[in-house]
Amino acid sequence: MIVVKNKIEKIMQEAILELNEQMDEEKKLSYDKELRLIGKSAAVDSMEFVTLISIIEECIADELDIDIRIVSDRAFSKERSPFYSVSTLEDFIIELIEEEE
Amino acid sequence: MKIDHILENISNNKDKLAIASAGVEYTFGDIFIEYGNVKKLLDEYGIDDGRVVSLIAEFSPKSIAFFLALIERNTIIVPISRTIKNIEGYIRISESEFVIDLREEVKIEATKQTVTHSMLKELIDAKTAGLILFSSGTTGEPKAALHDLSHLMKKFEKPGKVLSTVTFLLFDHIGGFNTMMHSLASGSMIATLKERSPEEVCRVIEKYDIELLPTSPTFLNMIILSRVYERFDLSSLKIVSYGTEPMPESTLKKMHEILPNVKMKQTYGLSEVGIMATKSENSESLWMKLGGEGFETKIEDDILYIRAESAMKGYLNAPSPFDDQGWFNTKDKVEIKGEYIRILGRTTDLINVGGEKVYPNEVESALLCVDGVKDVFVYGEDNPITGKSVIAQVCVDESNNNRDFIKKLRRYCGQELEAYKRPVKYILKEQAFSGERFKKKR
Repeated sequence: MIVVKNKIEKIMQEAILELNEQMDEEKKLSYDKELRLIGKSAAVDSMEFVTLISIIEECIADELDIDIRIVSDRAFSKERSPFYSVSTLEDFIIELIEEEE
Repeated sequence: MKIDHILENISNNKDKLAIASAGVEYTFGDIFIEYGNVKKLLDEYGIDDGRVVSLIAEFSPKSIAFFLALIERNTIIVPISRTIKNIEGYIRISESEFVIDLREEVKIEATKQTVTHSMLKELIDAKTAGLILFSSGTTGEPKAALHDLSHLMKKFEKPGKVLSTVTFLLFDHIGGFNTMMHSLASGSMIATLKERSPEEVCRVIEKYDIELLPTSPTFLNMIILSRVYERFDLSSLKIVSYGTEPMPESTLKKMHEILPNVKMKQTYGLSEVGIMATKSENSESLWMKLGGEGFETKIEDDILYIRAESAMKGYLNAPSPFDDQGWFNTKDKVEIKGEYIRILGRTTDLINVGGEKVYPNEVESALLCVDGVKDVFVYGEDNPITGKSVIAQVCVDESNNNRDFIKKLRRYCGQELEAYKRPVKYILKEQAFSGERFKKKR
């Protein structure tokens, strides 16, 4: 469990760094568990969000050899959005991976 | 249909080189002899006026002779290239009564089909020759466009300029038909290709002092990337014409640098309306004038409409794409600058990202500027958040097939493209992904 958690943290950091490559200087992100991903104070817009999710999915496929789809009905039907922050997204991804394993 | 002027021209040029095919050279006289043989064969099989005939072939003296003899006896011709996978489908949709197969020995067979389609019957009753061209769509059944050949042949009544040409476009393509007829009407030689690789194209240009290369932007990219032009003498080349898909500006600029004395000419042809005369603003420009005798154009809501005397009668297996005034919606979005227009791309290729419209060729053009990118194919994929998202397949060498290269692409697009145009996902590939026709399939 801890191993997976660490791996996902690392993937999230890598994904943010990759997204930064295409962001304007003043918008570049730093990894932070409390970074907001959706809603009013979100650090990313919809296009950046879609890109970030896509990068995370690819990194998980590359590094863990697991194919997951993060944005799905399941994510939308959760009582609290898994996309609220980096921390909630990491928890949700771990949930998805554990189901796959 | 009378083709006397073409036959006369062939006979006048009988000692001149007409076709170089698979290392063998044939004169116009050879075509004339074949024409005589073919007429006897057609008589033998009872292929006469009003028959629908599939012709499976590539360019050769024999296939050209068959084409001419079939035009002369007012048949409806269905040219089929050997690269077509679904030959049976083409024969069925066109209601062909005979199949002439020139892939190996000449094989002529009667099918058990009879003509039932009203549009075919109309053309047969009018006692004129016809031509059926299929559109190479990627989804669903290919659409069969029926043409009255007397309209398409009008532009070949005058001989035209003598220009030796590579037959890059296939036998069953409107551009291929155009190349063949131009050659016959003007006495220009054509050289066929063993394979459609950059190497072979450049070799043939050098060997036969080719003056005109009709091709596609995707193929020009492959020539640029392979750098084969450095190894061959291409000084005979006068015109490179390109069409079939939008040209990325970056490709056009590079081609002009490589071949500064060659005129880069855009063509605009659709199997539904025929090929229009164009005049590019200059060799580095994507702006062109469209029109010419027998064609009218109008632009409504930035979309190009064409009305043409040479337009097809209709599709055999799809609703008519013409409105009641005879205008054809090209679905090409254009920009206007005085008398010139610029094709932005097919509205059907548009990727709608959260309400913003993305033209794949614009993204492709940007990515092609990145060092290490050999080819690009951009398309839309369903996305639960933005409706569609932009995906880029990028052809690279093994040394660049890694995540760091994707980061480099992201960095470049971050600088060059608006946010909604930036690909969400990059798929790196080491093998080229052009189809048989060197036209990207979306």
